[in-house]
Amino acid sequence: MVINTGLIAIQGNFNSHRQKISEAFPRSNLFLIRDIYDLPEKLDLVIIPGGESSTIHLLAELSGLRKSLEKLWEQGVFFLATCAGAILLSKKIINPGLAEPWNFIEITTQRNAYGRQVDSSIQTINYTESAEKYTSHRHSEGVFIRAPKIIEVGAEVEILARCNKEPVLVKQKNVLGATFHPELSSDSPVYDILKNIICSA
Amino acid sequence: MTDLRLKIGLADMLRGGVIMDVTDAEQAEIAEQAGAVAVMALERVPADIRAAGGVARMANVQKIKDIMAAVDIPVMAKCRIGHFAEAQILQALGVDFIDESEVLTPADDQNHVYKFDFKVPFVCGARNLGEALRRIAEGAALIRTKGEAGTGDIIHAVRHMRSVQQEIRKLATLRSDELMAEAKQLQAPYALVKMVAEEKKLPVPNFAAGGVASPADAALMMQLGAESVFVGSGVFKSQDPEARAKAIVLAVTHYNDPEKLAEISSQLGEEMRGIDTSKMDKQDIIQNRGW
Repeated sequence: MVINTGLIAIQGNFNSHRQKISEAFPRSNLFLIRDIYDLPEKLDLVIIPGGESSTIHLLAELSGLRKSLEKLWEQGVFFLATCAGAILLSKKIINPGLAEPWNFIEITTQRNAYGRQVDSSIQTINYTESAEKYTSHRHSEGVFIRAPKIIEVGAEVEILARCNKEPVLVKQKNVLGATFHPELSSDSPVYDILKNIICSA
Repeated sequence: MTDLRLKIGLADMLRGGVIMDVTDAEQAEIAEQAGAVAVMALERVPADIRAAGGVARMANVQKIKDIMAAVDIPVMAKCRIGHFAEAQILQALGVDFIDESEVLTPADDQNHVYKFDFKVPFVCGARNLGEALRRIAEGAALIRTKGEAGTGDIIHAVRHMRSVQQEIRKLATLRSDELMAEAKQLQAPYALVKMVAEEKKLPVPNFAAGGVASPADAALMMQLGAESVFVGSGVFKSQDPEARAKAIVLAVTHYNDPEKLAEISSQLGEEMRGIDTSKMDKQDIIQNRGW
């Protein structure tokens, strides 16, 4: 199965996702997306990486990319959003600053919810029963860097993993959002989960 | 000891972005609104440090606090080379990154800060691969070119970036039994030299700094292999800081698209005046600070 992946490359850690995606989907075509002109005719997966949510939002808004991505989301293209990406895709951001919620997934997020960089940490993440159909892993590490928290989830949102009882990996229809950085762990089940969701769709 | 992945991880998140020098909360807000990924809290921008003379130290603590309160993006601050007490204070304040910087007057003429002792990540300047690997061996999570800060002259940043990249390419061509001699030549730890030879890249991100004044300068550094750009005096010493800050942010994202760069560069006012570094007195060159 050939997967066309669009990696949002406005700013942030998109390079680390590259490697992971080529491992998960060996026949993947990868497109770096900085502007609407970079969008290929057909995409199966869009990844919004970690970085600065305000920077990514400001530039995506300016180029019109945000609107194009919204159309892709409505068409059912799958989205993986990590950290800053998950903030942008949420329905509501408690402390948005210069970022705005794009409202692809019914969650409320809080930016920098653990504090500053000295409060960044590596924690154990526990996968829930809802994740069983996508992965056999029960636990993994989660790398949290100036990470957001998911404060509220809507009725349609599945919680796939928690850390200290708080949701950190959530899914609603064609959107998978993580507050941590699976791209920085050597064997994160998140890419397994992504692969199984996309291949079963 | 803090997992190095957390420190390098934050550096990773800053990729493809612009880190701007700011001297007060108002400038920090301008930088954030322009799309900067982080700000560097300073007492004076490098061009003014040059003009003022005297001893340049860590910025005023209240000023750093004000800047931290004004923006949501990461806040960096500079300590003097080898001044681990300044670094301890910056960590206690909760800054997100410390720049052990040649722009300030060095506090130690032999030793740099042992950066593994800290929870907060450090960025250090380097002119060549040997210097970069010595800083990484001390615990730096991010390397930047030194360039020649506060001049608006890009030639030194170009030289330093090319030098690091050329030396990495050279390492990748060497046989295993040639790496020890090369490590000796580079004055760098053998284990790191071996790692770079195998991976064909630094174990931490490599950003550009020192002399960036225009969107074209930023695009040049990105095309030469920088993963992000620090802008010091280039923004707030120009005629139009807000427009210029925005333009440099856009130039770093679209560094490979000349038409877009032309569009970005139009309607900008004058750059900072700058100093031709080839006409400077040797004693005014600051990139030689650091060991």
